[in-house]
Amino acid sequence: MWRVLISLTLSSALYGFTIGSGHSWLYASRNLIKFPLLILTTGAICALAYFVLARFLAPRLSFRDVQKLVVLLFRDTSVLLASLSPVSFFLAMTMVQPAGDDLGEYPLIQGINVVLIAICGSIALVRQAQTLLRDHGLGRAVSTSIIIGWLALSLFTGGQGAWYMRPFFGIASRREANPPFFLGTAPDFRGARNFYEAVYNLVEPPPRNR
Amino acid sequence: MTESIVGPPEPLSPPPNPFSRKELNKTLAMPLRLLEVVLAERGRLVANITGRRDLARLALAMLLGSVLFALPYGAVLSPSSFWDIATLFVGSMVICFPSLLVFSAYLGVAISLTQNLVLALIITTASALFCFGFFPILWFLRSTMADDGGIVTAEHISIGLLTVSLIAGICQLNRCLFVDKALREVRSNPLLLLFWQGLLIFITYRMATVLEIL
Repeated sequence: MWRVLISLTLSSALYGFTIGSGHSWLYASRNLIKFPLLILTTGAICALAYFVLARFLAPRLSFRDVQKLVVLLFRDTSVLLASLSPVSFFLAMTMVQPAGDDLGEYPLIQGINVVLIAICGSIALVRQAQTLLRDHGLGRAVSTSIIIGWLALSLFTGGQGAWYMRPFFGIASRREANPPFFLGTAPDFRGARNFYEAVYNLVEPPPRNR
Repeated sequence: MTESIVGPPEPLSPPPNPFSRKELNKTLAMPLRLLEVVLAERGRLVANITGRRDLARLALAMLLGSVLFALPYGAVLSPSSFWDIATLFVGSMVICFPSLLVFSAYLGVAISLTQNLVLALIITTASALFCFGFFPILWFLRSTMADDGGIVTAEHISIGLLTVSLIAGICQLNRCLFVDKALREVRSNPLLLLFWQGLLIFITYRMATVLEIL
């Protein structure tokens, strides 16, 4: 288990470094700590809920089985992302930098990274569902339900974790002299102060101040 | 000789054994075992209900669990009234329970008071167990979200989590009633059960309003 945790930490740190490099070396180096911290915090906060859900859907899974499967899920995602670090780093280094009000290619690079995370997460998810199916003899529907439930819990909690720990990417034209390590509850450019408000604002954008 | 991966077809499994008195005593001493009793080993729980085995002890353990496992969530939500969530689930069930009992008797469902009680407590215990799973998440959200209002607050999220817990509790009861064949006699009037579950949801909503959780 320690080896898995170490590879998870190193892989996620590497990927975190590359996404921060689009802004500055300061962000990149901070992400060496922040990205693994985000993943490990999410896993730790959700551990109990993962287990209760597993007990509800698949009684055969023990607490140890559940934690192992979840850590493996995160590890696989991190390793897959780490393998894409050169791609992410290259894109970060070559993007058209934001200037003034023009965001340049920042939204594109951010979007590409979100897609990469989604792809890696989905592949890891399918693989762990297959593991559940094979090693624990669970039905396809149960395996899929458990994995989707865990994913939903992770996104629900990890989304807010990522919000609190932001910035990970950052807009390079706004290079404050001493940016905070975590922005915490500080509002974003739309006024959202947490992850859920940010999602809500995507669906129902707030009126612009003139 | 190596074992085949596929192996021979599994024989039909015998009906599960009910939980013994010793196991239920253990559960009373260590309520975390309710995860097994209520969520994981549904077949054995149903065997206790149909066989009327140690139902009073089982009901006591479940009632204890319904209160205990709701307390951490209540303490995170509002430390000064940490009993609110336990009151929400158990109180709503207590209010609705007489109607289940009387309607069952009136419609001729052959089920005893303790059987009915254990069935009703499946909802509260499963909901409380889910709340127990969610309390670290709520704590994390409250710690990382601004608490001076906004479009989406930790209180809104908490309402969502409580709703999920209640739905999970109701799903667990319905899995016992409708998925397993053993409880055929109890579900002889599914309309009554659906009506009662609707009533419970409504009363839980009212209770949440009264307790100012909503």
